[in-house]
Amino acid sequence: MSKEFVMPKLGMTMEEGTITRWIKKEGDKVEKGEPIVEVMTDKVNIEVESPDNGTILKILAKEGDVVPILQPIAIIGEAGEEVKIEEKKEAVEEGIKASPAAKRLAREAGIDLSLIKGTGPGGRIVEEDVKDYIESHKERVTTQPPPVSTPVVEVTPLSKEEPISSVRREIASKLSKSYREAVHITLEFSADVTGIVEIRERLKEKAEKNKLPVPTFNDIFVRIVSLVLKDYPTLNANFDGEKLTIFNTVNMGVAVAVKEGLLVPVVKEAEKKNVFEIAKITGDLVNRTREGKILPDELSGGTFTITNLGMFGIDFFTPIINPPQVAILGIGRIKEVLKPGNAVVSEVVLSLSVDHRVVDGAPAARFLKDIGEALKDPLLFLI
Amino acid sequence: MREITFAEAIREAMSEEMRKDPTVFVMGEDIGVYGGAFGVTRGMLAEFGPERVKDTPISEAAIVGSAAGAAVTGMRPIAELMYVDFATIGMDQLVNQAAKIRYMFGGKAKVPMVLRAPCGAGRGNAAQHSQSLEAFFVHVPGLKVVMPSTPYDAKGLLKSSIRDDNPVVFLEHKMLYNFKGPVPEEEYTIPLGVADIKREGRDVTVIATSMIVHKALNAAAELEKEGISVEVIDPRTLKPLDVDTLVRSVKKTKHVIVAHEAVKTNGFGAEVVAVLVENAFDYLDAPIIRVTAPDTPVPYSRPLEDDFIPQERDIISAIKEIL
Repeated sequence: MSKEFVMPKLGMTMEEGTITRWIKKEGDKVEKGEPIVEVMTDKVNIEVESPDNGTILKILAKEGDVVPILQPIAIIGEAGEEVKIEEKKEAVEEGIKASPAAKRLAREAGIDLSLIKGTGPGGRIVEEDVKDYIESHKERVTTQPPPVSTPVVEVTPLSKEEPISSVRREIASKLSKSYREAVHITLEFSADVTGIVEIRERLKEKAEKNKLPVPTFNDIFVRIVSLVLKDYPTLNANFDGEKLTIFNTVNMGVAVAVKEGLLVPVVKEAEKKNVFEIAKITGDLVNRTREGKILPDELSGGTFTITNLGMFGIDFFTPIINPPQVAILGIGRIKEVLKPGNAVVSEVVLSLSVDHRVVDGAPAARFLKDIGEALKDPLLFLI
Repeated sequence: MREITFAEAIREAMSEEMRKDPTVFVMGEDIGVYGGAFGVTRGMLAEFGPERVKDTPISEAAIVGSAAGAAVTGMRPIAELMYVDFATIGMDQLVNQAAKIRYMFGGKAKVPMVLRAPCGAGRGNAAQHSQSLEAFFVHVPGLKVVMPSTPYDAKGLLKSSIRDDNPVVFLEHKMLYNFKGPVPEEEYTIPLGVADIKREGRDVTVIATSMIVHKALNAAAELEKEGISVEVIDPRTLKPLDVDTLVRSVKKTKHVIVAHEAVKTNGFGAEVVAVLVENAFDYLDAPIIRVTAPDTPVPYSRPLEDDFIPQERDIISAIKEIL
C-alpha cells in the first residue's frame, strides 16, 4: 500500500519549504528514520527522514521547488507497486491580464505587454492602455539616435551577484532589526578561569570513567551563567519595545556557526541541568545544527544567548543581541597571563552586550562581576 | 410621420400583401370574428371573408401542418399561434416537415409560409404562456426567424417574410402589441438578415432583441448622463444573422453586452457571443456578458415576473462591470 510523503510542518510558523536536495532517488529502498530529502525552511536546512520502510516509488517535487506544507512530495510503497497519483489541480499561473484587443495592438506595435499597467476591471490591460503607452513613448521611439557600432571588448567581471539563502535572509532581517531597535552597550570583563581549567581536567576524568560526554569550556560557561542569571531576572528576559517579559527559567541559546550563517539552538531549562547533562544536550544540538537536522522549534524560545569565538583566537568582541532577548554574552579565548609575583593565571574576556533600553550599565556590570567570581572560585559558588 | 401600434403594423402588412396577392391568407385560433387573442387580425374577416381569414380547430399540429401543406401546394399562408408556448405541439410539422421539404425534394418544392406567434412575459400569464422560445427555431436549418422590436420593423419584415419562399417564424412580443411608433403610409419592405443600429455609441455595444431593445435604449439614455456612450443594435432577424453589422460595432466599441428575455442557458445570446468570438476576438477589450432571464420557468407572481425579466438596471450594471 503506497503512501504519500508530504512536506513536513517543521515549526509552528512554517507554511512552505524548499526542496534543496533529494538524498534518495526514485526506486531507492529506504528504512524508517533514514533521511531522504533535504528541506530548507525560513529558519533551517534540515534532512527529513522516512516515516516507514519501503521504496521511493515516485518523486513529485523537484529540487528547488517551493512546496506548501502537507503537500505530497513523494510516494513511498512497496517496490513494483503501481503508483496512483491523484490529479491535483495545478495552481493557475497568474499571467499578464490583457484583453484580446490590447494583445492585438501590442502585437502589431511590437510592444511588450509587461511594460504596460492595466486600467481595466481587475487590472486588465485594455486597448486604451496600449494606445496611451504608444502615445507616451512615441517621441522616445522616433528621436532615438541611430545605433553606433562600438568595438566589443571582452571584460572579466570584477564581481558577481548571488542570491542569498532564505536562512541568510532571516538572519539579516533579525540582526538589522536588533541593531536598529535595541540600544547596544557592550561591557568587557577579564575573568580569571584558572579554577575552571583545573575543574575541567577533573570533569574529563569523571566523564571517561562514567562514559559521559566530556563537557567543553562552553558547557561550563552555560552552567555557571545559567545559575548566575537567577539573580538577574531582568537580563533573562524578552523585550518587544512595549513590555518586558521576565522568565523564571533559563532557556540558554548557544550560537553555532553553520554554512549559511549563525544559528542559535536552545538548551531548555539550563539552570536545572548539571554540566554533563548540558554537555550531552549541547553536543547533540550543535551536531544536528551543523548537519541541518535541527528542528525550527529548537531554535526558538531562548531567553539568553552565549556566543563563543574563543576557538578562533578572538579575545573580545561586541555581540549583537538576539531579539527579543535583552542580553548576550560573548566569550573569548582562554589565555595564560603573567601576573605580578610571577603567578600565571588563565583568563578569558567576557563581552556582555545588553539592551540599554531595559538594562542599565550597573546591573550589567554586577552580573559580569558575579560571573567572574563564580568562574574564579567555582567550588565556592556551587557550594 | 403617423404613428401606429405594433399590432396595427402587423395587420397592415398582412392586409396589404393579401390585397396584392390572392395566394396569401391567414389562419389561426379565433382570428376571425374574435380578431385573435391579441386583436391583431381584428377587422380582417370583414374585408377578406372566411375563406382567407380562417378560424382553425384548437390544434397547433393541424395549424402548422396544414399551413405547410398549403404552402407546398402553391399558397402563401400566414398561420397564427395564440402563444408561442404551444409551438411545441406543432413542432413536428414545423421541424420535420416545413423546414425539411425544400431540401429533401431537391428544391422542387418550396414552403412559403409564415408562422406568427406572440411570445414573452410581462402580463402575468405564467409559465406556460410567457416563454421566449426563439432559440428552438434558430437551431433548425431550413427555418428563418424574425423577432422585431418596433412597428416599423414589424411591418417591413413581415412583408418580406410573406414574400419569402421559405418558412419564417415571426415572433411578436405580446407587450409590444400596443407599442406605438412611426410607420410610413407608403409601401416599404425590410430585407431579412439585416440588423439595425437603434442608437449609435462609442463605448459599448448592447445587442438586444425584441422587448429588451427598448430596455437597452432606456439604459443607454440613462448612461449617457454619466458620459457612457452606448450603441444599441437589434439584429431583427435572428436567422439569418447579420454578423457583419455586429462585428463592425464590436470593432468600434470593443465591449459587448448581449441581452434578451429568454433564459440564459443555450439562449440566442450564446450564439451571438460565439459568433463574435469567432469573428471579432482580437477586438474585444472585455469578456462579453449576457443579460438574460434566469434559468427558471416564468413566475406567475408579478413581483417575481418583474424580477425574472431583464430590466434596465441589469443592463446598466452589466455595462459597468465590463467598462
